Amino acid sequence: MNRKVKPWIVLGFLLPGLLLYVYFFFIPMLESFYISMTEWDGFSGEKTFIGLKNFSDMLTDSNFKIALVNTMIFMVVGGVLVFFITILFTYLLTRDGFRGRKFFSNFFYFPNMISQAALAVLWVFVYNPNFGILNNILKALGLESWIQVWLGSRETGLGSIIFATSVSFVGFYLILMLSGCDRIPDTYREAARIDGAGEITIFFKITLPLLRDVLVISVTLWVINIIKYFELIWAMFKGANTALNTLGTYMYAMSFGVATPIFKLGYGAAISVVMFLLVVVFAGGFRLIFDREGMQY
Amino acid sequence: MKKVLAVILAITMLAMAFAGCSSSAPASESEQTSAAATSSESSESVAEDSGATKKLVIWSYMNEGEPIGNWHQEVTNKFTEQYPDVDVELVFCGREILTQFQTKLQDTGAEDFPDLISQNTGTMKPLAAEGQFICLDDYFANEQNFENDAVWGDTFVQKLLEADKVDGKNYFVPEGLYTHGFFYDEAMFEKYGLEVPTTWDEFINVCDTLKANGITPVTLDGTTDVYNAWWYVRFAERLAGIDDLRAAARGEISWKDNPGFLKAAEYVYSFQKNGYFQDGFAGSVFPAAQALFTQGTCGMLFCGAWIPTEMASQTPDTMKMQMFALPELPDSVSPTHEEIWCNCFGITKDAKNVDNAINWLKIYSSRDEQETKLALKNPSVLVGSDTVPELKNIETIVDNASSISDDYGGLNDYGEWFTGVMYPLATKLITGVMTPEEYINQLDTDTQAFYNK
Repeated sequence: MNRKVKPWIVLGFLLPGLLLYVYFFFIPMLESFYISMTEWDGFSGEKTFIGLKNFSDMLTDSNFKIALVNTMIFMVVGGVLVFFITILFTYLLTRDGFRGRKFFSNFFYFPNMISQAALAVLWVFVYNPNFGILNNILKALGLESWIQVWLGSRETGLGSIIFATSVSFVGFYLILMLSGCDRIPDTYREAARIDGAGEITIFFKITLPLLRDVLVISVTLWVINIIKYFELIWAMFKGANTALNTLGTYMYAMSFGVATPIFKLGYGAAISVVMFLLVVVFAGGFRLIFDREGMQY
Repeated sequence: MKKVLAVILAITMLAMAFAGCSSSAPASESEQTSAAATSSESSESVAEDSGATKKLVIWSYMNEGEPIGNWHQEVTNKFTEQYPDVDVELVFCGREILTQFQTKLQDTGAEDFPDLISQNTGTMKPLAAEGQFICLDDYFANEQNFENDAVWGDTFVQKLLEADKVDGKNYFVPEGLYTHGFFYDEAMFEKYGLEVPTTWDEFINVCDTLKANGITPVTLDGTTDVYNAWWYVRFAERLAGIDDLRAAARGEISWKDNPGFLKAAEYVYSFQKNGYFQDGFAGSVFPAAQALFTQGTCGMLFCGAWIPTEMASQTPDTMKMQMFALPELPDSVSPTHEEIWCNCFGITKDAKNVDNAINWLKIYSSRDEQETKLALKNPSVLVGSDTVPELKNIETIVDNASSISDDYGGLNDYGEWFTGVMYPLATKLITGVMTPEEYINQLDTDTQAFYNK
């Protein structure tokens, strides 16, 4: 029997959530676009309209460029690292006859459950050049030549933060990938085994292509999260290190200041608009290129 | 079984959500105090509007449970004993107090709009310049202190009040007297036969002696740009003068015009060049440097006078922490320039209970309360008070200052330039990535670019 759903019933149920969304998210977003075109310190009621000056100032702001480049490096290098580890673990945990998949997937998810602030405290100690565990382990293993001042330069600092962040996020994307694997019928893999394919071949020729949709979503989520990423870096440095700022931390530092008050909310809003546009371009563009019609198994 | 577990989880989550929603305050609040009046020494209180019992709303920059926050609560309790008819609301906002204040400015008519807010003077001064606080000059000049035995304004360390002025006017009641210098362990100095250095040669001798005995002379968190900039500012104040420093920060003169700026850069650069900092200092993250200092691994820490309070729980009993001023430098323009500042309270311009705010501030700055604060290793702001044992030299440092400025040389007034231009360059200088000449050239170029955009 065909049951047509009356549109007004659907709207009735959707309306409360929609109203909340518009009021708490959509309208503030529009206001943020307006604030990005003003000069405002947040204390006076007046916002001075300055058009696109905040955006043109960004073009000559060397610290903004540092933050932008750091964010892009984070996105690309961190993304490669995260998804390399994720795909590797997905392969290892979905091999035929492997036991302990549930245990290991929970185990790898554990860092994701720890607050970023706690992770920041942990990693600051790990990377400390004098009493940090990393340098002391390298020393104990006779690898003194590998000892670095991990947070002492932009290059090593970015690498260290990317590693710390990636390790904490692998578990999340692994869960997504494993859920995607569960949807793939076993018959495909069994048929491949009968034809003599090995586990690696099965993974790369069958499993991974069928996980394409999940990968696209995962990469999209990664891009969105990293463009706005704030927590770990802020907890580690509290904005005190200009060379290691990302767009999220730089936006906060310009909006409110750190040890020194700045309160340029208009400029901070402009940075947030840039972040929004980056999300649209990268995440949206990625999905446009790699997305495809839904698969039916 | 799964259904039962799911129901239990759902009920637990709902219960936690309701418990969280039941607290109406966005920040921690003390209970409104309404103790019965007790007789105690009373000041001549500022006349109140007749009849109405107004609410006094105080925003503290402390988090609930912090020692100074507990002291704010104690002051509030004493106020309530004196003025039992006044409802008091003390809100612990934490260090992001001004961000919360920004939001509250959208609703100045609210009953819980703060009458008093507190923070560091460097952060509060720009707001005072914008007219967000009421001027206290008349109160300082005409009111008696809490003990009713002196003019209120005369009871404070005058150089501190002078340093806190904005456009020549007082807007704040100071909380603790801070200055900046080298912290050291007196016991360590005694062990190695060292005296407190008063000249640069003596200071270098101290560094070399410590280094020869396996102690890193000075500790630094090289990843903290603001502290790295502070190093440069302190030397530049002495060698180039505070007026030229601020003029250069405003882009009015070139950093190459005054040779003192290059000399200051050379002094700062020399520390890493001579190996006076700990290994790997460039990658050390706050508060690792302070930890190394209290552990006795490093001999000295160049920082503000809050260090005894901040490191109280980590300072071993065997350590005799003391402080000395930056020694006099050869060819100084201002040989004993010092920075003096404080945390403070100000009365907001939209305050509804100014009279009681003044009464609260008088108790806050009373002798008894300032002495109570000494136990927290927070220096008194009153003339002739006892000192914190670790800061026994602080009044001498302040008294000997030939010229004074706010912390960071008052360069917080040019916040965007300070953080955007000087911060990253000072880090490159102190870590040796840039030579002094490169630093001055780049500082000049970037300052011009900043002000010409």
